[in-house]
Amino acid sequence: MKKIAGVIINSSNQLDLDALVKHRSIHTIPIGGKYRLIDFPLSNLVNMAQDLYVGVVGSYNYRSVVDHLKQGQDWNLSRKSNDLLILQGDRSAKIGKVSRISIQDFVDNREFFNRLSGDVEHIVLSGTNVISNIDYKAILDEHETNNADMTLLYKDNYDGEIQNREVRLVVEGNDVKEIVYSNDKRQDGEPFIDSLIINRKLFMEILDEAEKRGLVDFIELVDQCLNDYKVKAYNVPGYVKIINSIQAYFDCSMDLLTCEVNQELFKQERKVYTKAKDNHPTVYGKEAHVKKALVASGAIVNGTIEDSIVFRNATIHEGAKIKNSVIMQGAVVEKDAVVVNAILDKNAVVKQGEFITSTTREPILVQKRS
Amino acid sequence: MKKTNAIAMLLAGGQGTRLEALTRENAKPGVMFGGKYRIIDFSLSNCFHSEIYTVGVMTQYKPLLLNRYISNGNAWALDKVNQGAYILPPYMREDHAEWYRGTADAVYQNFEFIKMYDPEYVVILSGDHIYQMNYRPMIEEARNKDADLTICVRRVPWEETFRFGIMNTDEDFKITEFQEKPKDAKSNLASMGIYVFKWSVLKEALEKDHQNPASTKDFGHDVIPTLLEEGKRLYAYTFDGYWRDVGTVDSYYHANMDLLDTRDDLDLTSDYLRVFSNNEHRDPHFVGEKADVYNSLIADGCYINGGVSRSVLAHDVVIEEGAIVEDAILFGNATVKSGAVVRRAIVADDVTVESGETVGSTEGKITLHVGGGQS
Repeated sequence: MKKIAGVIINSSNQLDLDALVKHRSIHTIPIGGKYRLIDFPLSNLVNMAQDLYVGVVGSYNYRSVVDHLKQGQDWNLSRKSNDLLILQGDRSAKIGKVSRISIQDFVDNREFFNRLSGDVEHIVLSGTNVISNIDYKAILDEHETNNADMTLLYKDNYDGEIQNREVRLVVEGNDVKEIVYSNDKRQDGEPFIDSLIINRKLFMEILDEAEKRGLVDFIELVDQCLNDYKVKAYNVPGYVKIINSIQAYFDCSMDLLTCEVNQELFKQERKVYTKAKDNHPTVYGKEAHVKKALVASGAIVNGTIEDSIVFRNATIHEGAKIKNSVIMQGAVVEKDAVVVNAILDKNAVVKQGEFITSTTREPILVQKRS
Repeated sequence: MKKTNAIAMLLAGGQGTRLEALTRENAKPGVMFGGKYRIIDFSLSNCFHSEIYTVGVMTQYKPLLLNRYISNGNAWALDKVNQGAYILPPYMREDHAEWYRGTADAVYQNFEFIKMYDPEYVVILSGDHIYQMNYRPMIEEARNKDADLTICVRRVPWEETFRFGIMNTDEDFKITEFQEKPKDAKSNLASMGIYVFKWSVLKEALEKDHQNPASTKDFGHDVIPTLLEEGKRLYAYTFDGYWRDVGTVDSYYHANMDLLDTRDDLDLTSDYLRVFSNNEHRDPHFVGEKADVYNSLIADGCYINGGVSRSVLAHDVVIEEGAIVEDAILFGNATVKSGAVVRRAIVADDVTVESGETVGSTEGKITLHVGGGQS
């Protein structure tokens, strides 16, 4: 089996996720009833290789990341042959250099890369805010068949919104011809989804080079050496959603309620892992009426729910009505309250009889009550 | 090794023949309960809440699923250094090998294990009861009364006393007489099969019992009457919480249905004496557009697009559009096809109820549906 090193990068500083990242790292934004954003890239890596070293670049908001991942046992990463390390990160954001894939984060953690054994041939970089069940084994195969130095992942015909900081690839055949940025005012290219495979030795070489040249952004560096290396592109098939705004988060949540997306993400051989919890099965009370919903264990449901996601340990009291909403863990919707087009953050409370409503184009975010 | 106050020995070898097909491939303690638990979760979780972190689990009948499930006991937070859950199957000695020939014999054969810990008290438990209990107060009372053996009892209706081992006690709950399934019970204190033994007393009693060729090697039948005869200090400890022996299809069914009522003495949602289980990775369950779900317990991984009421659904159950499930228990990966009906029935693992099929009826015995033309 091949040994792989995976690094989950931190790209929080350029996103418009507002209050969702006020008290947590982008890695641990709850999604899909029981998951956190990082569960998707992390599971994708875990499903790729038996022998795996994983580094997760933390943000200044470390606590929630460490609390969620612990020693990685729920992702099979705490065995002697596997390893999970939380890496220091986000220093560049503090000193005002904003980048997509921060070179500073790699330089600060050079020890992690230096310690990788010689038989680690490839390094996989992955952003944390992409919801997709990605078959990296297939991508690695193609990377090797192509004899590529780097393979960048993208999504064609992407239907979500692309924000200012996004990077697009101009692809011909499977070659990356050009890298364009949103602020280039160009319309061409397909969105790069913050992930790539690179040969380890090359990665170490260009890290040295980047440091010498004082470059900030890894993508900028790749851009500058497109002609020196064999840089290939891989179009990720199936469902891909980049969580770069509250709206994107909300749209993605609603996508999970469609049978096709749900099946594609969760009913594959490649599972999505998350922290296990000792929850009771979902309790449906005598007054419950539920239609089109994703409901996690530990929830207690006694109201009416439609087109919504209900997380672990959320409580929906009788007479409450919930539609087009995301009810995060521990949130409580009291008796006869109405919640429409809303995201209730962890432990938020909607009081008895209260109305929280909005439009789908502008979902309202209810924060944790202190 | 540091002296441990109490360790538990958990009897999990029972075949559970009265649970019929549910125990065909699995020992009774390993049978699913309440959608995501296994019966043994209750005793193991009780051990954790009682700060008993060393648990010897004696298995014999079809132990493979149970062995895998229990692992080192980490799911019940028993995996402290040098402690944990240990699977104890019968094993070969220098000159002979034999199966566990009864509850007392199973413990006797594992004396070497108990000696490694040399505890003050040994708590004997059964892996097939549904109850939430902290054993600590019982152990403390055993110490306060300097009891050689303390037996946990509960008051049962007088008309049911003939089904139990009945303890007659004095006003201080010192046991004066033991009646096994009596026709003329003098008390209604029934043994729950939970014993707190002084290790020194247990050791001597089981060695003696082992030498006795007439013994059936059973705690209730042989060991307890002998200790009483010998004038040992036996006490009863009353437990008045929820407790069910789920040894028959009927009692198993009704205990599951008890979970659907809001009751204080059996509450899986409370943090108090929370029941742990060995969690597997499954996605939240999906409720479709045509579904109507109420008064039910539903585990992760299910896909529901039909009517579900007063039912318990284990992991990855599929209820197709137009299917009706009422007053039922569905085991993992069971499928109810479009237009099928399941009423007052238990559907076993991996079984598919085909379109147009009806399983169970509103009257009579609870139906146990195992598929393949058998029921």
